[in-house]
Amino acid sequence: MPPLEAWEKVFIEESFLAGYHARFGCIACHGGTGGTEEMDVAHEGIVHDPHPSNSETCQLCHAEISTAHLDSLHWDQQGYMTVLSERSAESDWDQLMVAFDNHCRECHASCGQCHISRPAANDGGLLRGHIPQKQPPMNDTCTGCHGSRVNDEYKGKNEMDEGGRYPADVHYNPGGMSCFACHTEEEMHGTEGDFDHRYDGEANPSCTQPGCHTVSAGDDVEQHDEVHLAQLSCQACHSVAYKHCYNCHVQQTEDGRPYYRVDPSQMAFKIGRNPLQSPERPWEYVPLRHVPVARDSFAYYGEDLLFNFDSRPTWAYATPHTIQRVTPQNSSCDACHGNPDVFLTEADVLPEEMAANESVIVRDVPTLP
Amino acid sequence: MPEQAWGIWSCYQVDPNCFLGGPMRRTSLLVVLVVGIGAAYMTGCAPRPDVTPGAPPPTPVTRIRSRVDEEVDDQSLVDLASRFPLSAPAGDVEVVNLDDSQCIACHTDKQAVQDLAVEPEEEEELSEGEG
Repeated sequence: MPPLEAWEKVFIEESFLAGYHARFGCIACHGGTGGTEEMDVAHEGIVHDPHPSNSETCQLCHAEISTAHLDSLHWDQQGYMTVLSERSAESDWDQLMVAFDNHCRECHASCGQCHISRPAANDGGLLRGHIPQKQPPMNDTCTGCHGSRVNDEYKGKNEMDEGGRYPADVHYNPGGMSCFACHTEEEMHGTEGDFDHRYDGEANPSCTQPGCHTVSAGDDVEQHDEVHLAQLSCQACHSVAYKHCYNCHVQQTEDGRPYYRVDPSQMAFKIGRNPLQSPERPWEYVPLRHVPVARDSFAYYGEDLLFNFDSRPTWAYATPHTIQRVTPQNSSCDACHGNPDVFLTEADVLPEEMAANESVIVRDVPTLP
Repeated sequence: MPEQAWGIWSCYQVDPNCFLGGPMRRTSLLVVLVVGIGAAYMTGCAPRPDVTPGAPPPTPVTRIRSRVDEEVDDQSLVDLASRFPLSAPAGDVEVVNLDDSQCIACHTDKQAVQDLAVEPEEEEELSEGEG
């Protein structure tokens, strides 16, 4: 997204003043000091981004949503906590949280960071002159954070090695669907429950939810037989290559500025065994994405902080935003059956990560019956 | 059945509202009159004995203790603050100035924010790779 100039970040459209939210006055939500012409004095004690639990701001009218949001993944970052706690030892947790606070804590969304301004992780700045956006503009909010993977995949911005670009997800082009066509406000606000991870609970959104695709064995698609539908997630047949990241390390400069280094990403399509097989996600094979974590990602903050690194695959359950009706792997039976290129085999896994991925590696590539 | 009672019954059979203008109405009015006179006599129409009212007690005066505790000499004044479970407001409550007219005047003035907003100092990008 194009950066905003400093003044654009704080300029308020006069039409905002005619809206309901302006009735409370600036100071009721943002604090500061009223009745002065001195800018420094006026800004004393100012709160740029009111907390969702503040009973005098969002909670005042949107109590149910802002209360639920405190337990949503976008706010409490429980997804990070789940994977970090699984990969670490309890005795190292406090030290790990020092790293988390320095590098990851900023990546969460308050009410305002979707409905009023750009996310803080993108240096903030008011959206539409402070006029609250009931549906956040996806290009200024969602993809500001979910940029290098979701945004580039969904909009077809990833380049092929052989030239050209991977196609955009059909839901975006020609579908023209924004993030919110699938990801509902209930999901974003956390009003559907308190989850430990984004793939915790029902598969939501789901390709086959009411109003979307009706798929059943015997419909007019030849491969939609009982075996394929039971064993493969939709994305295993209908997504194309997506991004994989490796070897992220976080550290600080001597004066305390946090930064990270991550290896160049790679584009690939890999089906593996389902690491989250459950009644909600019953498929045996799903696309897997290599997540950027490495055994020594937090080495700057302490030795072996990911003590239980092997307890969780680094090739993680994925639902790529690269959906196509016809894909390389579903173009013919032979394109998938007996083709090791589309499956995650030992050859794809780094030696030091073999133990972590034991459960998701495909040992015997399915052949034609 | 006596004739009058039969008359009431037959009246009711023809028109359930007939009591309002029939024999029942006369009986009801008589009963109401007797009860009303009795009640009026018992509750105030009877002559009152002569009574001389006494002096009223002093009127309670609300007094909120200030932060500077002062001795209250006048015991006739009742400190009402002690009657309430919450402490009385202190004399030095912080008053928040909610006048945001200057906030609005400045932040809606494009020229003013352009003049005053300061671009953050460019920092060398230390991170490498896609975030």
